Amino acid sequence: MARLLAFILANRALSAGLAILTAICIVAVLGPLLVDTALSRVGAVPPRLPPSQLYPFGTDGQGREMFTVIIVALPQTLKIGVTAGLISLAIGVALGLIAGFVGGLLDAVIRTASDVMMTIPGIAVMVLIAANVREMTVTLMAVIIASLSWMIATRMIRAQTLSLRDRGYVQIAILNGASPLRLVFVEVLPNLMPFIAASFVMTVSQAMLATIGLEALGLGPQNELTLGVTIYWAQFYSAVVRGMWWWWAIPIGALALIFVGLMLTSIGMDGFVNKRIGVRS
Amino acid sequence: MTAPVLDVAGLSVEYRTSSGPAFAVTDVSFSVQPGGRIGLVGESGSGKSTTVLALMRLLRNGSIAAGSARLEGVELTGLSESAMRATRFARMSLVPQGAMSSLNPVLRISEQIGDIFDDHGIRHGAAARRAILDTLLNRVGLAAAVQDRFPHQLSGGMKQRVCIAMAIALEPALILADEPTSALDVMVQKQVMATLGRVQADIGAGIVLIGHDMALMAHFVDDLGVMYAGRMVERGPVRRLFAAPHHPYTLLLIEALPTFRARGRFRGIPGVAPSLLTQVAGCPFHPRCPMAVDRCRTETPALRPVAGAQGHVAACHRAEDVSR
Amino acid sequence: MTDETRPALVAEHVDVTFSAGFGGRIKTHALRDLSLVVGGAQPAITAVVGESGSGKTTLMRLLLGFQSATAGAVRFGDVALTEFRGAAALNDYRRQVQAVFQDPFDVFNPFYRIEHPLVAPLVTFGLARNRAQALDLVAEAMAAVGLRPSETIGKYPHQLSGGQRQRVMIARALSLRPTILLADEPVSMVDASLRSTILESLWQMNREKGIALVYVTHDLATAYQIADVILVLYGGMVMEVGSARQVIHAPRHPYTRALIDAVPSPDPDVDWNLGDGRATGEMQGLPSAGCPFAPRCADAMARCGIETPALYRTETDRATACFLDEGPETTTAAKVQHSVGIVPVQIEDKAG
Repeated sequence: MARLLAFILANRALSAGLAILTAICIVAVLGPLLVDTALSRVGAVPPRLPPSQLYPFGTDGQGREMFTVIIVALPQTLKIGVTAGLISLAIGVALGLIAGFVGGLLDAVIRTASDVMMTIPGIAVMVLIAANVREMTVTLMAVIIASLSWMIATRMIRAQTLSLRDRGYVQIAILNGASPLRLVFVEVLPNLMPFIAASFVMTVSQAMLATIGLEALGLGPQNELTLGVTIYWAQFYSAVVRGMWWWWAIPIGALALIFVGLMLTSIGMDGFVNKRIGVRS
Repeated sequence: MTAPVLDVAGLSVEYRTSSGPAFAVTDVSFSVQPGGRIGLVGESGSGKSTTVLALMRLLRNGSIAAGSARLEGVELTGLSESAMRATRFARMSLVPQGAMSSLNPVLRISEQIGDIFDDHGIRHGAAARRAILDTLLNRVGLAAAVQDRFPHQLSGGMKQRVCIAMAIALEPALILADEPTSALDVMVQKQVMATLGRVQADIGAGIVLIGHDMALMAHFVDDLGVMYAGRMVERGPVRRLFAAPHHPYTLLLIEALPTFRARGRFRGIPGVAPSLLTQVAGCPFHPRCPMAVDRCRTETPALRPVAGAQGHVAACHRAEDVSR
Repeated sequence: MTDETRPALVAEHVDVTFSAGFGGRIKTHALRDLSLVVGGAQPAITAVVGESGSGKTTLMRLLLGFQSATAGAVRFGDVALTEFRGAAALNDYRRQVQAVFQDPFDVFNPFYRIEHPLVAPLVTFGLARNRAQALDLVAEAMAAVGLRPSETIGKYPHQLSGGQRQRVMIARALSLRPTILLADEPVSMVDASLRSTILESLWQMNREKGIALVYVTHDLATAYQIADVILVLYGGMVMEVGSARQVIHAPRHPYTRALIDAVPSPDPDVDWNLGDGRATGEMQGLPSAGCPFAPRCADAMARCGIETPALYRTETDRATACFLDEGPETTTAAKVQHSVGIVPVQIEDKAG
């Protein structure tokens, strides 16, 4: 543990990325407890006011207090991204490990399935589903997004498993009489952790991008506030033309910050992943 | 006495590591006559590869801490990077370790060898270039058609010959060969070494051969330098070293060699080589030395000439007692 | 010891062919009609000498059960490797047939400490009841190969040198009380000063504990140093087999002679005949018919490119796969393939 901490601190990109993400998570968790969430509902405050001392992020065209909106929307956006990311990752790890390790027909099936699904345009599927669903919720969105983004994680984990499977220590473990289950969980999985962590960052980024895209098109959860939905309302009510820059620019800024955090973490992890998996001489 | 092509004096190289400086090479001296062959033999961590990388100024995370290296009279240690680039391959070239994987897999052989000429500002017309490459490949025993191939279409030995061709393209005065045949089968190794020897004689270059195989050295080089823990512990004509070694490490290395003359005889050297992070007091070999005395623990032996022999030096307090 | 407690590992007329390309058109014959007996009543040290592409790696994988044969079978005792019934039979084979590999870096899982691959099999194969007992046996085995347990156990792989790691692997093999040890280039990635020591411990394992050793290598010199029997492999076929002394000092096969000629002797006064390297050397790929060595053979005849020579027994304990050795005495043996190990070979103890 101490080794891990020391390593993180030595890597500037990783520290910066993790710091940003941690700060965002703290705001997302504590924020809603410290503000009056009633202010984020329609008509709670006078509308269309620019940022001032009373309303630091201004108010939107429908009378929502923007600062509260951001505080409330942030955890929702994160929730979708992280949930979808976790589901994608779980599917990816399970399928990738099986495909890479077992090989043969099972591998061919999983590989073909993921390749085919990668070609399906996610937006088209989402639009279809969204149009036919009575009520789109945060959870439902997360599930749908996950079902369309597990493929890349699967491919990545499969590739790594294939390369780890032929390592000398796996062969020695086979000679030691290890069962296939033991081989996967005891020998291969721990060495896969850095890749899984890197894949997690990737699946979360992917999921968030998909979510925001859909929300900005108006296909997001109808009764819950997320950053993407806020942007949708902003452009629906012509905030750009009407000069209400605080309505769309601030959510975009928040999103940009999340992605900067994710990118820096991903860059920082690159160094970790490469060093770990390389031969230690 | 003609001037040496390469004259290395008191060379020391340090690497920067997270645990402090590693003294990879300490006070190494040797010289190469034009057309001469010297070998640097040692095990892992002996500093032999580092020496050669230092001469080419290709060290990563390391620097030349002391000493000098003169190539045809020009001091290499202080040369600017652009002067160094002009020197590499033109005056001094390197056949690196794992040379076979140093070839760019997506370029044809003609392009890769051609790059050497282009990088040194030597331009040719297409036909002239082809003819020059033909001659070059013939010199290393390859068919002219090889120049149109990609590296993956060639065998290991053929790739190694391409690397030798690249090393002699500009007819340098000195060739540094770092374990050029380690990854090759024994029959191919013999042919590649023969090729190397012949082209070296053709262009009159000196050669520094790095390796760990004493038996190979015995049949290729004129002089041999034995390296241990970054220092040169013995140096002299190779026949002299084999006939009468004056350092215990040299003697033990020779005795450890398997031969077709004895079965079931195993002579290894117990212990491990010292870490390069500490500058050990006394002789670096003394913990493993069967002949060590008290003096060896405290006083680092200097390279002293061996009595009755030309150009033979050894760094041992008991040098005279080594060959019974 | 009776043969039941020391089953032999027998490969009989084994072929291993890899298919590639669409519909499996491109066939690579990694091993051709190879027969070999390891262990059993007379545990010897057999060196399998071959260069890259000779099939020696495939042979290792075959004998360890990582590769199945396209034709012929590998048996351990009476049971074919593909037909083990139940975990007990498989574990028995896995315990008795041990391996040491070439790369001391790759065989350790960087996530765990060095004793991880040593403790697990002791418990799995029932040699230790629990982890504590296993660690005792591990310490014992490490001491036996010249390592200090207190300085080794508990360390991570990257904290030990290549030579130390290789010795830990040998300790692992030893601790499982095997009857057969397959060593694939165990010292080629180890420093010269340590090679002899490691080879000596392998040699002692055979002489003192009766463990049959198969030493797979490209290095003819160390093969001669350690082996009783030398088997020369080229292009997946056995070219020559016999006692070490005979094969090296009176080689019959042109390939064996070329190999011996190519090894530099550790004496600068013995001429290596370097020549000028004009010959372009190795071929790419093997011929599709006839003797695999024919394209490079100085004595090749027209027949060699068409017909594949059988393994001809030239004396009671020698065989060569070359038409030059086909004569009345050998032909009357009906060109029968002979297996090493079934052929009685004098195991000599004296050096020199």
